[in-house]
Amino acid sequence: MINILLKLSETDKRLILAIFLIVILLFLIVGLIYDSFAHIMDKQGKKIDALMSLPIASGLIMGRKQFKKIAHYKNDVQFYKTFSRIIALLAVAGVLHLIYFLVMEYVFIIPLNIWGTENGFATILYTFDWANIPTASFFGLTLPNDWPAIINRPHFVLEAIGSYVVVPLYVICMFGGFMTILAYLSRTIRIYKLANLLFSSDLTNKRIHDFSALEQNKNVSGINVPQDVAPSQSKNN
Amino acid sequence: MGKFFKKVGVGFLVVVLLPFIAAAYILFAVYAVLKFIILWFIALSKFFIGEKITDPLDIDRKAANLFEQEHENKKAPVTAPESGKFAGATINIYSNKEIDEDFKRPPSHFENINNTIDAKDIKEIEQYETRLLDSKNEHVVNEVEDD
Repeated sequence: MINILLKLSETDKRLILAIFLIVILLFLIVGLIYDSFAHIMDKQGKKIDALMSLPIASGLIMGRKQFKKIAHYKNDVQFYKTFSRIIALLAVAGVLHLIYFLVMEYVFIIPLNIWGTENGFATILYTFDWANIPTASFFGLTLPNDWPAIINRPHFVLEAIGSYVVVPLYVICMFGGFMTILAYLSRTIRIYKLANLLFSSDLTNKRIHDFSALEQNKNVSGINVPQDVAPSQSKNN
Repeated sequence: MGKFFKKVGVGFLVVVLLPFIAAAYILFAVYAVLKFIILWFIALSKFFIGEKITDPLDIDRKAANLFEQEHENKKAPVTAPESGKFAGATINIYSNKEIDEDFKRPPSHFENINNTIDAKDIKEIEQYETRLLDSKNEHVVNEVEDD
């Protein structure tokens, strides 16, 4: 290993250092993305606290099994409520897509590709030629060394006007669906956490009423002193 | 610096475990979609019997009633502020009528006084009156003698 490093030129060493730093940066970015997802899931999971606070506070839920049953039902209903909105939006987007397809295919006789660069949504986006990306050889590996060439620059096409409406709707549905399912998962995880927390026999984190000070001696300062360490007794001992 | 390396380490772990995380999420998404279809049928069946899937549960209603009762019990009776000529004055009202008619008072010896007067009683009263008159006469005679 040391021999290989000794044989490297100064440029190769700099390149290795740069790659190492980029990898560290990528890991850092992924770590931060993970943190943000964990934060979002934590917030989404708190919804189950709001849904279950009333029955829990009233003391009507007596056990872990009952809690899980009711919490899962409420979680399912909450998921149904939010996901049905996404489905409704998807249905609207589907109907619009169908109308747009029928008009383009049978009225204007233009083949339709809503994602394409000719008369689709990609006409208003930058499109890169990823297939012919410039590469360089590095330790026997072929790696990209530059940005690919631009095939398409953003421009407005009248025939693609339907795809400008339909594609964002599909994207919103995809994002909304992803977030709704993530929220459902977060709440499910939260239910198991709460069931273990609320109906656990472990008293470590439980706040109980402490009556121990009632039977204790009161010091001159007014501070309660436990009987077994009261000054009079400790002196006698 | 420790936080930085922790973040980098978490990032590395996430990259390594990403295929498993993605697989778990996809499996859960499939389960969620199936659950949605089942819930849709349940909602449809509830719709035809005039109910809604989003209606509150019985336990929620009971809990809400409990809280409502507690709230009403805690609420103090609202009294109108006093005003006018006798504002702040204490007015005592006496009545011969029993406040609680069903209340059984303990027996009192005052209620058992014998109201009937017989000959023996009349004799005693006459003796008492003559003694009283004699003592008054003596007092008057003494006063005259002093003068």
